[in-house]
Amino acid sequence: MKLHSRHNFKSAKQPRVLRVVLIALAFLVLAYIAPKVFEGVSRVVLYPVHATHEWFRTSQARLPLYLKGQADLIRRISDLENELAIASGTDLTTQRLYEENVWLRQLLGVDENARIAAAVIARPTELPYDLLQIDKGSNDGIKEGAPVYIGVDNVIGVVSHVTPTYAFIQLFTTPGFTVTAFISGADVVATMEGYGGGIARVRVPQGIPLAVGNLVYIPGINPGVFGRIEYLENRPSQPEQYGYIALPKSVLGIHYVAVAKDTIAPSQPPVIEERIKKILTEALIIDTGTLNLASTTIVSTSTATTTN
Amino acid sequence: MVIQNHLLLAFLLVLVFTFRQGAVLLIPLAFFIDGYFGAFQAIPTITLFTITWYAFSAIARPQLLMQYKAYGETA
Repeated sequence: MKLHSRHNFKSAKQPRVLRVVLIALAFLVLAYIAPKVFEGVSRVVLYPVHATHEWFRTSQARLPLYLKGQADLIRRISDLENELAIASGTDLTTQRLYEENVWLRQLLGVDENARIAAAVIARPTELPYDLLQIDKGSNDGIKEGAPVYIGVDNVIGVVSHVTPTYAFIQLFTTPGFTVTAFISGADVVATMEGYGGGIARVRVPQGIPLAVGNLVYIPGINPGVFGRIEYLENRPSQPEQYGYIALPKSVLGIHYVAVAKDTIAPSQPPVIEERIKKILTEALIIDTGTLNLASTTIVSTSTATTTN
Repeated sequence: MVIQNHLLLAFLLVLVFTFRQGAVLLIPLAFFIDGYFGAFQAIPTITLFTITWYAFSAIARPQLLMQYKAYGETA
């Protein structure tokens, strides 16, 4: 029964649908023929809508102003939030890139391109302590025995093993690693030995004025500052005193290093003495600005005396 | 985003109106809207869409209503 009625309903409806569609299409054709008439009629019919819209758009009444202001504010806040997010992201990226650039240039010695930058790909605890693995090898020019830097002149170790694609760095703090060091301040040459765990130590006889903060140079490497004495162990009952030197940066915090292209040349004692003399001479150099001021004062004083 | 919300609202209103009253009254409204915006100088998109919508809904609506009523009776 239901099916029968649906069929009847459907068949009765279809001619009406067709008729409406045809009439609509006829009106459409008329509208194409005389668009101005349709536009005029539409404007008259939709005038209330148009007037309301214009009132809302231009009125200074409280309600339209409130609604417009709210919508404008929401849009403005959204725009500003987007701008802020983009700006802060760009600013952070720029700052990070700038700092990285400055740091890498500093690491490579800026002008002299005598070093190879390498990323540390393995470190303690993946490797034994005082050992680093870098992502450059003999294919990139890394040589066994080349000094490794983490700053302009901050040497931390030497390349101990090289493969074509990677290399290992042995730090000066490796237990049993000995190197001749010059301790500035105390002005003595001593043997520095690795103590392990990122620590090296120098031993000097009692009576030598060893102090915390003394710079420790490796005269066999140029430039070659290793670090500062961080802790002093001085027992009067012992014949020697020890100065402990930590790496300037934690082993875990070393992500990039610069490897010198040349290996350490076996330095002869006269060469080492020359470097020590140079370090001592540089310690005596006074700031040029102060010196100029002092000499000007002396000259003017002497001139004044002559005039009198 | 605002335009999308308006379109969604318009679509919902058209849907509800079609279901309750039929879409035939939407055709003159579409003519007025296209005339108001001067769309007869080019392609009257809204009118064409509404005619199509009317034809579709006129065929589909009775069946939908019947299903709705049948569901109402059984429920």
